[in-house]
Amino acid sequence: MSWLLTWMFNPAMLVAGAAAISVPIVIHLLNKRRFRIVDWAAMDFLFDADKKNRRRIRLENLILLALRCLAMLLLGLLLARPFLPSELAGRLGQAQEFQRVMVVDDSLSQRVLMGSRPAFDEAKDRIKQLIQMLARDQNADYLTLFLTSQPDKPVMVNEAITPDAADNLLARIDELQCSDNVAQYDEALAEVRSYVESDRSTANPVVYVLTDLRQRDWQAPTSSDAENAPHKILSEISNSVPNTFIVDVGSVLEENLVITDVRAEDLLVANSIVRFSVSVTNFGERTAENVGIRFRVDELQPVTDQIAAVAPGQTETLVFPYLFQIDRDEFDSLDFQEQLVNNLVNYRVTAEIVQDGKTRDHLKHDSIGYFAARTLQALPILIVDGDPSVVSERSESYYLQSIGLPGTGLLVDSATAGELETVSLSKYRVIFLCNVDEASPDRVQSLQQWVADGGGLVLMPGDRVRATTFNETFYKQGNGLSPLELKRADGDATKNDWVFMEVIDPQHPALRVTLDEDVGMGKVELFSWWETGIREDQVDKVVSVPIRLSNPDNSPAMAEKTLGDGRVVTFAFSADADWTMWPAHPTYICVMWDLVNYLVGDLTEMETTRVGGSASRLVDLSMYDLRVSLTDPAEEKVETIAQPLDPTAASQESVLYQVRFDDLGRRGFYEMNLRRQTGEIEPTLFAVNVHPGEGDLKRLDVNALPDDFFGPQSQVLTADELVQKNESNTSNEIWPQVLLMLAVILGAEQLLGWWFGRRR
Amino acid sequence: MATAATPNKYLDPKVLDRVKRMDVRARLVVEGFITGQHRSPYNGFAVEFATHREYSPGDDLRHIDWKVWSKTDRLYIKEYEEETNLKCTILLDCSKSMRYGEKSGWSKFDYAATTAASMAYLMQQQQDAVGLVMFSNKIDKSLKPSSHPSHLKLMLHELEQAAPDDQTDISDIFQALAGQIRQRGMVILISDLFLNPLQLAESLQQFRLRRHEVIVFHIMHPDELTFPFQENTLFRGLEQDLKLHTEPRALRDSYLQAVDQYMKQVRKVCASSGIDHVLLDTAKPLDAALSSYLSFRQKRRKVLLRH
Repeated sequence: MSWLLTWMFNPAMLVAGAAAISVPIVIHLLNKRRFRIVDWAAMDFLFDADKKNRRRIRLENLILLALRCLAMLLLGLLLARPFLPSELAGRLGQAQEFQRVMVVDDSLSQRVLMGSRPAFDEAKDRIKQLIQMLARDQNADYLTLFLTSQPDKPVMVNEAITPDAADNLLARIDELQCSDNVAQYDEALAEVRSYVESDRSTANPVVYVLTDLRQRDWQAPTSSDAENAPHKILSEISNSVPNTFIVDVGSVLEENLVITDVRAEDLLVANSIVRFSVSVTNFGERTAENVGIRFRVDELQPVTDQIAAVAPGQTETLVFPYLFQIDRDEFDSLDFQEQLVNNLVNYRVTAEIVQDGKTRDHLKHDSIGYFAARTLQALPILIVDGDPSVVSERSESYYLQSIGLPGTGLLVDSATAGELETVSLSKYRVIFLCNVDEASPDRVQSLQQWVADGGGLVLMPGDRVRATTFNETFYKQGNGLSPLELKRADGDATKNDWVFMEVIDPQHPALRVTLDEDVGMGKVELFSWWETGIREDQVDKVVSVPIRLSNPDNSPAMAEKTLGDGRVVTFAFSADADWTMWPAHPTYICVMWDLVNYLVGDLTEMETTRVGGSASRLVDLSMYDLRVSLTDPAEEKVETIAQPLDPTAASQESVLYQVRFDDLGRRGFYEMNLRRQTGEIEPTLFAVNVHPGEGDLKRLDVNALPDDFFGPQSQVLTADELVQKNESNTSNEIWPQVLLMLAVILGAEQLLGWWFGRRR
Repeated sequence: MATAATPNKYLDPKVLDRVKRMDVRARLVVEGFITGQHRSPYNGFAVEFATHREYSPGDDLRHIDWKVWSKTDRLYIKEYEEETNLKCTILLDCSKSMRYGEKSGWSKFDYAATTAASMAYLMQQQQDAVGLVMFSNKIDKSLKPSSHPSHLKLMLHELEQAAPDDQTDISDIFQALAGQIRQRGMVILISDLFLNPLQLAESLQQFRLRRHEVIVFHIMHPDELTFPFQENTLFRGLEQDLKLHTEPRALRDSYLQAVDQYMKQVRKVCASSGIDHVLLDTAKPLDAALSSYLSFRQKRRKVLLRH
């Protein structure tokens, strides 16, 4: 009996079937006993006929009886659920073909250690074991392998697993590296689905999903996307592929601290103090205490600081101030400004969680954050003084000049109204026009273009300004630079009466200092000011008014206008202390400095990219070569050629091209090198960080899931079961064939019965 | 042609079966087709003109048609149909094989006896002498031909009383009978003819040699002609003690072939001896079958005489 067990699940059923063979025999015998009696006259004819047919009838009866007995036996066999061991199937020459499609999770979370090795290495070992086993057995196996980090580029397509090819395959599996990317199960499984559907040439597709079963990967992020959730797609696959296995190759460790963000809070300018905030998220279940963070710029001596505690699921931020120092003496004094203006210096800022013995952090690779600090060597600004004086205290811009103090990184140039006509605007990021009311139309035109290209202009009209001239030059019925139209000077020149400024928009980036009650601007007296007009149709569209006066009109004290990529800010009073006490107030320099930062704008926001993202920048062909190279964190270099920014326009004159590198697969710093026409290399630094969510190592609780979460036919296996499972592959069960045979036999029995029994 | 155009015109064998008295049965049958026709072909079996023939020396002068002579000055002989004092002998098979059909109602023997009675009645109507011989493997009963009305009654009585028994064996009997029936006449054999065809041919030849006109009414039950059995059946021989347990469906084709073969042989035997062979299916109305045969016979005679 025991040998039967190696063939079938319920051998007892086969025995029952064998016993049931007697049933048709008994029925046959009983039938023999049941007959009619006819007294017949024409016996001679009957005997004559019988003599001719006797043997045939007997044979027919035997055939029918045999078929019925066989049917009973097959019924027993069917209920016994027999299976053929795969080696036997091979020996019988019925080697089956299997199309084995694997999806392997090579996302960052697979780097979690299992013992001393990353989980991904363990997964590779399992795949290699499977390949070795498949190479040995008699079946024809074909392997297709998708990685979740690059679903559209299968690593192997329909590779035959034969003893000869096995070594090559094993070597290729060995070469696989765990990526820093997220697991894109939805895309990978969609690829598998279309692959399995398109390739029907092999009878037995087998789908393996080697996953670490992270909740975040498998559960649809939003309810609207529920149809495309990975497990739904897998469910669809398993409907057409009965052999669908989810293989758990992940680590069970879930404690993880992640640097989710590194960013500069201030404008990145050399020689100014920049605050870097580093965010740490605890994805574990327990509070992490005394989390040390090592902050380092380039290869310099790191700074270490500690966060007292990060609660589970919480994010804590630590701020590191840093001063990028540039020794200005290095630069040739004549070219000094020229070089500073256009050169960005790249600093590699990294923040890393200090791994000491106490830190419970099972995934180290997301415990480091990168920031490419593309730092301006200096921030050149121009202050145009319409009322200069040899006595510096009496010049219009006397107070304003002090924003270029050391530590701010600003490089302040001064000019008179006459000199404004000739300076090169492109050198400057911000220009102050103090008490200036006229400029040549060409200059106004070029100023407008300069603002539209991203410059920041501040207009501070004072007592030297003639309203009509100002309006004609800068306001132009609202089409010019200034958001405000000057009407007339108002106030008390004797300084016996005054108004205050009221901050309308305290959230304005330039007015953050006014949030502080102690140093607020509420008590700054304003003795004289310009009555101004504003075009109502522009308000809240391109023009905003963050500060108003407390005079009866509540007329604007500061107005801002957006023009192209740049902005223009007009104050309703002068820059010096003639009209107001503000320049002597501590908030004055702070507001001006924040205003400069604000006008310089968004330089800092584009530096951080996530793994899988892209790095791009504009290439001005008048300055740079078309060929651009990119060096990745592993020092591998790729080259590409810049493409026209707008290929459809196909304008021959356009010199502005774009270069773009997609699919940045590694975390760390990428350096894009542009070659100037003059031959020197200009590097641009990009930082690529891992997706912060990938650090969420919470696993699906397979036991708590609904039974058909992965589809009714899929099975969840442990890594150990992967190799064993194949031995008793369900498709070796032969009950469908037995059922088919039974149906054929019953059909044949009916057909023959009818054939033999028809009247003849 | 007076075949069974509409079945209800004739007597249903089942209806006839209910009539037990043979004389009534016979009358029903015969009157059935006689009244059913416009003109009875049997009205005057007596002296009947047939045709003229030119006189040739040696002919009997009595037969010269003087009226024709007076008109045409030529001598013609008047020819008549055979004048009868016809002696007819009905040979009825009383073997056991004739009992087939008893269980489902009318047996072959019933049908045969009714046929015999009808023929006797018919002959009697025409003042012909009818005799009856019932035989199996021996002569069971023998009545000499007579045209007396009481003779018919006696005959019918015998038919009513008869019960089939024993096997059919005609070789000796027919030899003896042929010797007994001296006068040339008509012999009507009513039987299922389950015999060796050679033996049958030989026996019938006995009568033909003595110049008797022989008519064979071949009685067959529809079961024997179509073999409609389906399920497992044990066939028991009526005459011999034989049994066969078989599936009739499987044998049907071969059986029907054998029957067909046999019928062909019988027809051939009869045709070669100039014997009328009439197949009577017991499922079909007897009067229809008889009238059809008789009208066929009349037509044939006319054709023969004309040539």
